[in-house]
Amino acid sequence: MTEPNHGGTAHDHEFARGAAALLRRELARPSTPGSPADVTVRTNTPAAAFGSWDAAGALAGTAARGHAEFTAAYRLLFSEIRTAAEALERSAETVQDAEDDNVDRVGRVRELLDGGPKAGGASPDGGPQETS
Amino acid sequence: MTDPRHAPIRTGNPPAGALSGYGDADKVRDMLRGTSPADVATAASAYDDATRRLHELRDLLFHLVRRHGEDPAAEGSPSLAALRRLLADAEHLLAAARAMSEALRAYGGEILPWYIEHAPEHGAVQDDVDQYMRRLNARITELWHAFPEKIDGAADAPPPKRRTTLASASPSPDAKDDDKSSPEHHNGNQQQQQIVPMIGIPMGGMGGGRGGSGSRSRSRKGTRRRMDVPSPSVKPGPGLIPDREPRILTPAAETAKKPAPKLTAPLKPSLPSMPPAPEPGWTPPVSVADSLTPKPAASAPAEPAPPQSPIAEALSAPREDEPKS
Repeated sequence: MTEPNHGGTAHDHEFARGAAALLRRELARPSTPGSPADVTVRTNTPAAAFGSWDAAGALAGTAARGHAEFTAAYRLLFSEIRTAAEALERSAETVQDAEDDNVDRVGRVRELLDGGPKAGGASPDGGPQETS
Repeated sequence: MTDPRHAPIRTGNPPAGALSGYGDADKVRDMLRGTSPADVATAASAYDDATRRLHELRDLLFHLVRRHGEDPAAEGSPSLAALRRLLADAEHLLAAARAMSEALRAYGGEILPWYIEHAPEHGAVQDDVDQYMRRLNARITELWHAFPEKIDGAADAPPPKRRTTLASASPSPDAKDDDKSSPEHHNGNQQQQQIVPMIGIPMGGMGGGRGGSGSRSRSRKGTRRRMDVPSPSVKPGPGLIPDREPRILTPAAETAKKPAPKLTAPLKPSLPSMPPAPEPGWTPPVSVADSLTPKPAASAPAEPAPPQSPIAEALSAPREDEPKS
């Protein structure tokens, strides 16, 4: 496991956000040709289309199994892509929140260092303190 | 429930079909005309569209995996593993869609239309009708091997378009054996010896005035060398060469053979630009990998130590946007 502050990259949350957006964009075309719904409908070929004799019937059975398994796996892929996009979005939020928090803390420390600690100590909420 | 990616598509033995017993020429012709090649071709087109979509998805996932993999710390992270798994699934589905598309297109777009067009006509000799069906069934057997064994598995045979010899005019071994072993063909009359290429229909008994013109027949001279001509002296009569020969392997077709699908990285993926990287030296507190693990609040200490100084106090102070207790 990566340690905080030592294993991240400079673009972790931006990468995650961008990746999620790209995946979302791919998912945003539900009814275009080639979508799982479209493929499911168009590959539903009746067995009679292949022929009524023995070999053609067996081929139709193989094709039907192929249609069923392919469309199921195809839908599963899109479902997993949606899940991955959601996970990336969550991770981007988490990283962004942690980053904002750290920036705030560092800012407060810098102000303290620049201005020096006032008698009585810093306010509990860590707000900026004016020095005159 | 079985994972559809691992479920078998080809089960049992290849469909061989019966050697005979399909009825006379009229029955066989009606049987062939009862098929619907257009419906099969429609399914093939759907797989073509799926192939295009999967191609785009595969490119995108490859791009994301590569970008994410540039971070050494992301190696082994759940997000990278998930993206890699999606990439592998997309590649398997892409290969399966291609195989299904090409197999169905060969059957619905070439084989069935050709056999329907050249079905035995009324009065054809029964042996030739049976042989016609044996040839058609041999093509079906070949086609069966072009279907993927499963979604994440490969087909036994390359797709028909690339393996044109599969659908070549040379007869299948069983058909050739049938021809040789059949005593009627060796001891019968001359009409039975005159077999039209491809479908083995007697020249005198099948569609003499149909099909292509003489010039078209001559244009296919090169291809006829590879057809099923039992005797070099026997030449098909005019009009007996089919307009379209889905199983002919021409030198041009051989040179124009489509390369095998390349599942490696695209050279220039058509992707929108990723967000720009921040300035060098900037380091976020946690990585994507950490944030995807079940420890979401890894950046904050669980129990901060009591502040020892104003600086330490500022560092441990609660965030401004957090509600004060």
